[in-house]
Amino acid sequence: MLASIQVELIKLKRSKIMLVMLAGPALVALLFFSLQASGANLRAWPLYLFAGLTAWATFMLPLTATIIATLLAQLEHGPKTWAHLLALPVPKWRVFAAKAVVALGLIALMSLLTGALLAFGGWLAGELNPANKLMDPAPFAALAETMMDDDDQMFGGMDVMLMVQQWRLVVAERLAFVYLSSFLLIAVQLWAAFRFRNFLIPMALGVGGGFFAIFAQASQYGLYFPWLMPFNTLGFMPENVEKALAYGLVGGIGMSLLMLVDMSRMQIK
Amino acid sequence: MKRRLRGCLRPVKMGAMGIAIETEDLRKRFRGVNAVDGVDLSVPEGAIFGFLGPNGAGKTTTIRLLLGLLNPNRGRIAIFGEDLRRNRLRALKSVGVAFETPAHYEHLTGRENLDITRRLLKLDKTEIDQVLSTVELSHVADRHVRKYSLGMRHRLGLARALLGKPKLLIFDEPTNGLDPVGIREMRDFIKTLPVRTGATVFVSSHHLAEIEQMASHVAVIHLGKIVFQGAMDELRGLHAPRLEIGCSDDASASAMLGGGARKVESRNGRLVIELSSAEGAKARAAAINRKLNEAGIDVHHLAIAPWTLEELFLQLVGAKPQFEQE
Repeated sequence: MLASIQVELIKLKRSKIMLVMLAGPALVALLFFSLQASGANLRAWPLYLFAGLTAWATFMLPLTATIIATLLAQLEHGPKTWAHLLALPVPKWRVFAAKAVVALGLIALMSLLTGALLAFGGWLAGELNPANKLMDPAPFAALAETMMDDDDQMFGGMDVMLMVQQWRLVVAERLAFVYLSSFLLIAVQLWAAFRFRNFLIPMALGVGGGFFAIFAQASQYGLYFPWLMPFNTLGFMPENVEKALAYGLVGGIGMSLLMLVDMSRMQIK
Repeated sequence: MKRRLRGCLRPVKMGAMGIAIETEDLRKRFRGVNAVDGVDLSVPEGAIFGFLGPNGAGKTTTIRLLLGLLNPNRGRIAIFGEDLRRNRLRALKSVGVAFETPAHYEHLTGRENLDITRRLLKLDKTEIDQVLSTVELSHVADRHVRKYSLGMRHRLGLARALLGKPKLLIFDEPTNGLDPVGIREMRDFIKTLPVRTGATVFVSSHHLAEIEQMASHVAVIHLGKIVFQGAMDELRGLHAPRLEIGCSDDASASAMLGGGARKVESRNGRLVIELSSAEGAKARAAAINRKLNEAGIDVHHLAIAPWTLEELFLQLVGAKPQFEQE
């Protein structure tokens, strides 16, 4: 399996995939840096980072997952190398599994990069203009606690004091949740990208999925919509966060297994 | 004719020794049409086996079945005795393949392309230089494939097929799109492979001359069915040679030589006599020459003409040779 993954990484040399990897997180970071630097002050670090993560989870993650899955498949569809790859004495599922592992790895790196660049943008905005400096709420936790009664400390099921005291941990945790809950949409995108030689089909699926996610937010069935699952893990209701995480992660693993079985049976005419 | 052809089809018991590829009653249907229909192939080890057929005859489909890229609707395939369906990985371990259109990662160098296959086959790094040297691409190994000519891409495909020193090499239309020089180079290269590598070569083509010049054995496929299979000499022996005569008085010569079972035809300004067998053809030619001279007819052309592969092929697939169409 390691050799198959190494081979996929060699194929990415000089491809556009590195550009996508940098562009997605950089665009999110740039947007929020611009907002902060132009005076639309989000005041506290957790608010700033949560806003950035929402943009990542809602738009940029589904979009970049679509592009990465399509690019990985087009590496074979384009030059018609599937026949050569699948005629080698290597289990067919391994060819597709290696691509899925690489896609998940790239999106994990992009998630980390998004967090890092968002933090850098927030810091830079404050350095350029001290009036836009973001506040670390942790030192004020004791003061905040005295100002809030017990009811205030829970906001829509979310522990506000935990957010104030340990905001770094909470943001990191939610960043991980966003990533893990995207497994289902990544698996769906990979399947479509592998199945169809025409790249417009997986691209249309990804863009369409992201578009419908906007409307699905208002629906009671939004929890089950793969393109909305990363966004739902940023919510305040712990129950919904857990559901979105479970559906996205377990559904993603299940969907990946189905995809491997189906793709291993694919016939190359 | 049909009886003679059927006699040439020799289904071999699966798993027989000395057989590189065996198929038994292989069938593949696409949308209700049999692209491959009851194909029994038996490719002897060490042969250059030409797989001949017009476009759309089922050559590529058969090759894709042999590689497990397509699943047959019926029948069995064995590669060196290994059942492909049960032991795909073990069967394919002895196979190297180059497809009709050389497919490579254009943004990578030739060496990087080979490295991909090398890693998947878990081979030593030195194999890359060996195969590059074999196909004479060492000097452009670190150039991007997008800058390769079609001939170089074909050779890179061959190099990739040679990685791991496979016992069976399958080439699907290896000269497709090449210029005459490239075709000759590729043909010469393939001809040397059994001696150089010890491999059996299975090569498909619709170019009759190409197969005629390099294959030791041949199978002809038409509309998904094998219409002939055997050694090249057996194919040529399907028809006795003809005697071509150019003389001063065709009408008199034709009247003199015809009659009885012997058929004399006039084609392209010459008389053509079908001989009953290849044996004694020279003596018969000399006797006819003498007879015509004695009758005062001058003979300026006399030749024993074996059937060309093209004529045999057209006979086998049921099309009329060009001279008959005229």
